[in-house]
Amino acid sequence: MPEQAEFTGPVAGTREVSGTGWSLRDQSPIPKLLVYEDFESDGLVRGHLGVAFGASTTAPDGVLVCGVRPGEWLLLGERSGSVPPASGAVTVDLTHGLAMFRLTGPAARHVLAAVCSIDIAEAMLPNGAVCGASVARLACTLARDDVAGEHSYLILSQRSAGRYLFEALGDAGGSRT
Amino acid sequence: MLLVPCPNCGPRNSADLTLVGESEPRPDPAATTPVEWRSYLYEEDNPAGWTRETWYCRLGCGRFFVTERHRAENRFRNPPLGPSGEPPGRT
Ligand SMILES: [Zn+2]
Repeated sequence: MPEQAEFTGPVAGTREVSGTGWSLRDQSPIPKLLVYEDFESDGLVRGHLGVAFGASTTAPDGVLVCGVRPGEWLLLGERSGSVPPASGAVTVDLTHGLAMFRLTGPAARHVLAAVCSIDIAEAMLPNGAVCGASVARLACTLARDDVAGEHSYLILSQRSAGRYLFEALGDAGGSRT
Repeated sequence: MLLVPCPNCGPRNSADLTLVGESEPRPDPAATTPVEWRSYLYEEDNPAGWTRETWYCRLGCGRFFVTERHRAENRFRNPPLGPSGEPPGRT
């Protein structure tokens, strides 16, 4: 059996670009678990994970739990104790299926606004908010996850479009800052 | 820009959604002729007034919902309520 290749992100070579007031990092290797709630689970999974659609929370083990759709959550990070209850939950490991980038910095909002279909002003997408939106004309999941008080967004797309998205965000940064 | 009231995402640009079509009760498969099926699947009344429509929130929450739109004036009414029982409001 051939040795399994080490998993990297969809961006070959440089995995980070930056400009004035923003940086973009490929964080695709971070584990990503999609959790569906069974129709008959009666809100058990939601109660266990603690957030509804449109919001996120950090579990005690550091995993970011994002309510990405009604009855669907993305768990981002290396899990230890936050595996959802078996009854009523269906889980799919999407680590290799999704690209994930982190856009950070005081100018991050302007970079994202250049290619995003929705209003990402503070009142609309505060820290901790999660939504689905078009980014560079791709269907993406956005999670606002500030780092040390600085604006920061996690942007997830289908992995096959990851390289394009990385470059489109980098181009937007170059033209906006 | 047409703002569509998604019950989960709030008002969103119609470019983020797909209009599935007029929302009518599904006929009984056991008692429907092929002509009636075709009419149900592919034909619309398309009135110059209020109609009930199904929309698919493609880039937002990924859910289908039914709302009413005035096809001549592009206004919405009676949007479905969100999960908390509130009308659509966020984003
Ligand atoms: Zn929606």
